[in-house]
Amino acid sequence: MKLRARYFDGKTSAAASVDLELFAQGRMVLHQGATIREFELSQLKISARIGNTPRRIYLPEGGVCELSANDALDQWLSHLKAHDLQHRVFRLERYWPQALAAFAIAAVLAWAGIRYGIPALAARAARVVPTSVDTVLGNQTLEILDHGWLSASQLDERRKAELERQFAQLTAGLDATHHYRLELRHGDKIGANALALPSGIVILTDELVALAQDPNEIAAVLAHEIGHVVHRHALRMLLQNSASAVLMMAAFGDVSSVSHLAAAAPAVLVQAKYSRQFETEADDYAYDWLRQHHIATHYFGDLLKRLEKQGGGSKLNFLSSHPQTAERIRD
Amino acid sequence: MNQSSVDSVRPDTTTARHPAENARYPFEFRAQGGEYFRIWIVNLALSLLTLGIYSAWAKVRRLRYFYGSTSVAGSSFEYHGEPLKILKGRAIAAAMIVPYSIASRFNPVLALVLLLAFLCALPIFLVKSRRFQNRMSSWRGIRFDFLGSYREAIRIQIGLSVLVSFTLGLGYPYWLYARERFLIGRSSYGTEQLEFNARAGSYYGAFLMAGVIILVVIVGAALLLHPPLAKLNTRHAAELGLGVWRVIAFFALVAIAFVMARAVAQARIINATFGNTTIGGHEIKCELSGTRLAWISVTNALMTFATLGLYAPWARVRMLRYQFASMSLQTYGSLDEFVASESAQVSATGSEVGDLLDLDFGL
Repeated sequence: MKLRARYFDGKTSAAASVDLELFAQGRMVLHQGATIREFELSQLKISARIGNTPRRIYLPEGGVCELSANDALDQWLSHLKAHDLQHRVFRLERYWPQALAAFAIAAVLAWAGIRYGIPALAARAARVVPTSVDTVLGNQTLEILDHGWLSASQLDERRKAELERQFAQLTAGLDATHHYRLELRHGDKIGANALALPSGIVILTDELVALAQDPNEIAAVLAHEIGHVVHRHALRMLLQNSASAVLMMAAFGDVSSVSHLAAAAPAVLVQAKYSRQFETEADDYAYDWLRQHHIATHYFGDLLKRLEKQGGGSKLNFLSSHPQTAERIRD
Repeated sequence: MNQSSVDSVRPDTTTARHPAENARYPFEFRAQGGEYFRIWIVNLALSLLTLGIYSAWAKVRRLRYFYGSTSVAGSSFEYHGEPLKILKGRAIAAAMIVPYSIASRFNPVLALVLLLAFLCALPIFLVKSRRFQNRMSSWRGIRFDFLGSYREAIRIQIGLSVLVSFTLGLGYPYWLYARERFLIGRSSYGTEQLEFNARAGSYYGAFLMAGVIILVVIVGAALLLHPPLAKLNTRHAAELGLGVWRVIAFFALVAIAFVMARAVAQARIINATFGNTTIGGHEIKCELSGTRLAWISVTNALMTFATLGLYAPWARVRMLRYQFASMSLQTYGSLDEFVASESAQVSATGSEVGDLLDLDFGL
């Protein structure tokens, strides 16, 4: 088998046209004009095939042959069983069915990793991180909220004391590392709402207190918020979002700038999905608490329904940070 | 020409050893979208299967594909980066960046200190990154190199960026020019240093042109679409609908103007930068058109978005094909006389820091 190639000596850029004669025993003869040189396969380094880009055969003295007869060269190497591991990668890349199978595997792996792998790893990692980190996570959030989002609670002292007592009952016997504290506020811009900060602070707005028709409804909401703290959702969210961002970067970083926009869309969906998973986990906590204290579970759903009626829920389920109310109401 | 290694060889008249003097060689880019898609998707699958370790091999395969697909005067480029070195560089780069990204959430003061330290080290990364990229690239068996010094890099990257902020951005085109002059003018092919002959004026011209496009479109659109206020006040409610459409049309025109302006500036800067580079007396020509560039980037972005990212490999290939199609090499004399230079090893860390931070360190 004779192949045309261009020879470079590695010392200058001069190109010489050469013929490479390949023999079945693994011998290569280089014809350059009348000059003949012989090489054994073991002396040569042959570049791995990628697409149909030119191949290079590196000679022991530092010279290199550039040739585009990929199939003929591969035939020779196959015959000699001299293909390296990289050639298997090429076989995957060469044809659509193999490449699409790789795509399917990648898609399933990415999905499973995002759906189960990352949350499980984050939960495990969170167990190692000391709870003191939670305090740092949201330590300025309350100050920020108090500047322009919330104002002082307008509830009377008796009602406040009642809520404090309820909160103390809910947090009694919980882990000592979180400093649970109830902060009552008037929810100027956020209306009827309850928030949990990772350090253990639970914010409850006057509007939500007014919306509740039974103390048990308040208890359910507070339990839901405490659930966020107990399960360390803020830390896990941080870990999960960072891990999924790295995964997306690995996937799309290769194809560069045009895809930044396209890669942002799945990232938003993934983060919304994580958020909904955490809401469900906090709901579980609330329902469990109600059951343990022999309180009918419908109180939680009642308040959720009233909240939705008042706020008008979004129909874009897959984009929403909370599951749909109908899914959250359980018996 | 050094013939010591081939002195047993008779001059071969059938080869391109003595190409016609003053020839014009177009750059050729033979990559195909489908082929690159398959490489990309297999890279992705293997990277996921190996929890990211394969990504270093993936990077090498991708770059070898793109380099190998690019040729001029009958010879293709070659990328020599070694996956293990890149993996090591990546690990070191991550070890430097992760503490910062953690600190930025928990400890703003520490984050600021780390950021400052990082900014001070940036010129060093710039030099190391460029040196690695150049030394890992070859054409006709001869490697490129980068001879820029840290001192020059510090002067440009830190000194000039201070100047840019003091001049409220007016110094930016000059900074861009100085950076390219450093990165290209200090690059070499074998022993031959590249010559960078662009003038800072061309960079200012590019930005000026972009400014003019935006200004003309905004003023024109405003005049065309904005009815006199007095008239608007007397309109009926039904006609206000028309007003909404006018506002939408106005913003659409402004968006188009920005895309156009960006592409025109980009094309002019690339043309000025590469079109004024010579290697051993041979000239690189670069004739990108701003409108074509704008059309390709807009349609690429739309298609990529519509296909949830699957079109991205085709988009990349399409853009590169156009960019190389507008480039050529004008030779004056033989291309055979470049001589290889000796160069030491260089680590991949700088280049990987650039990759992780998405810094545009070149190529």
